[in-house]
Amino acid sequence: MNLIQIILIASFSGAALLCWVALKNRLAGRLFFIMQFLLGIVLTLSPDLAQAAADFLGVGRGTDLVLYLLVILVYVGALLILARFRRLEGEVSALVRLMALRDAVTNPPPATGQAEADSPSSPSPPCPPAS
Amino acid sequence: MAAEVWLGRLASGGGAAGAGLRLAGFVQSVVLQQIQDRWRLKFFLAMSERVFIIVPCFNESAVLRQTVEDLLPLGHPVVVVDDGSSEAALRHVAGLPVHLLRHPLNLGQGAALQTGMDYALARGADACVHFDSDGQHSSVDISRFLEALRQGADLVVGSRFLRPQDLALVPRRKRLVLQGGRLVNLLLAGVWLSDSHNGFRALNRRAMQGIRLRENRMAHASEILAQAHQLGLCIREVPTTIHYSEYARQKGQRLSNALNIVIDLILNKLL
Repeated sequence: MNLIQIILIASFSGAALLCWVALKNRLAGRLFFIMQFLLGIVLTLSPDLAQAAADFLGVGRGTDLVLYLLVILVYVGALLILARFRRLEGEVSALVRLMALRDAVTNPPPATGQAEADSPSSPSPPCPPAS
Repeated sequence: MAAEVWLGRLASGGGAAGAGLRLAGFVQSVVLQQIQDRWRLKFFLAMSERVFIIVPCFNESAVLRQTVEDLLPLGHPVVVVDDGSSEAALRHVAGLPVHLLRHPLNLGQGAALQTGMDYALARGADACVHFDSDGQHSSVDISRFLEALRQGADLVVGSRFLRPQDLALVPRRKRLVLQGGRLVNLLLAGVWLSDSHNGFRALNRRAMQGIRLRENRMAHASEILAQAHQLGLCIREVPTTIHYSEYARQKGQRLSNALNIVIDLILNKLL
């Protein structure tokens, strides 16, 4: 076994472990990443497999096939993260809206003549004439 | 949905006689609600306090006060939605009889409008008007929007392209972008109008209840049209004069933002 194979397999395993721990209760996410890392380990152990698959699909080199798969996976991953961002944005909006509605302030209507007459600050009735 | 719940209850038990009585009560309440809604729609202008004017604002200065002061003589309640301005809008409208809502965070104009509509609906609004806070809209036009609602429209949108004197005020480069916006609205919302991204609108209660803005930023202008189209609402256009003051031009949308709006819309379709 080459040194590079050992390094790659170690990093794939570490990343897979990290995903398994980090993505709790999210089966789809776990499967998505673990499948990738398993594929990586398999291809590291037998590089001829990638070449065989490339030959079958009509790609010149096994490395190129892996590169194409990588590009697609990066895009899918980015889209998943974007979708999550949008969901979070929606939740934040709902929360902020709730706070805004809860703390709504209604400014008092401007004082009209009627209101002033009723208010205690209106001039007191004239004193009865002194006897 | 209420009917489904009710039918579910009916299936789960209860005597036939009781069920019949409950059915009669249900039908009666639905019919009464319909009649009430019709009546309110028809006469909402007579009760002018039921039209809420929603003014979203973000970091506006004295122009906000001027805008609100222009609106108040109309006699409609004015709802100012402060979209997380760095200095509270409260200071600018102090002493004016308005309803004030404040987002603790800046979310965008679409979110501010939705908050205002939620508030108005909770207060029993029959209609609402979206009105920009930067002074580019004219309060005189509002009566024409309400008139269009009364004639049966569910959503009334302002247009700068219906009268030559309004069109003359629009900067030439802006016209081109707005034409592109019309095309985007046709492709993504399925609505072909004479103008695009005019922030001056009026919605009746039916439209307010049906439309739910998820686009927090500027793409809400197309989103409203798309949802109105999906709901089968009647959309009408009304000519408006937009005053491009120096202030409004600085505050207003930069042309480069048009691309952002399109990307927001496409993402919304995909995700």
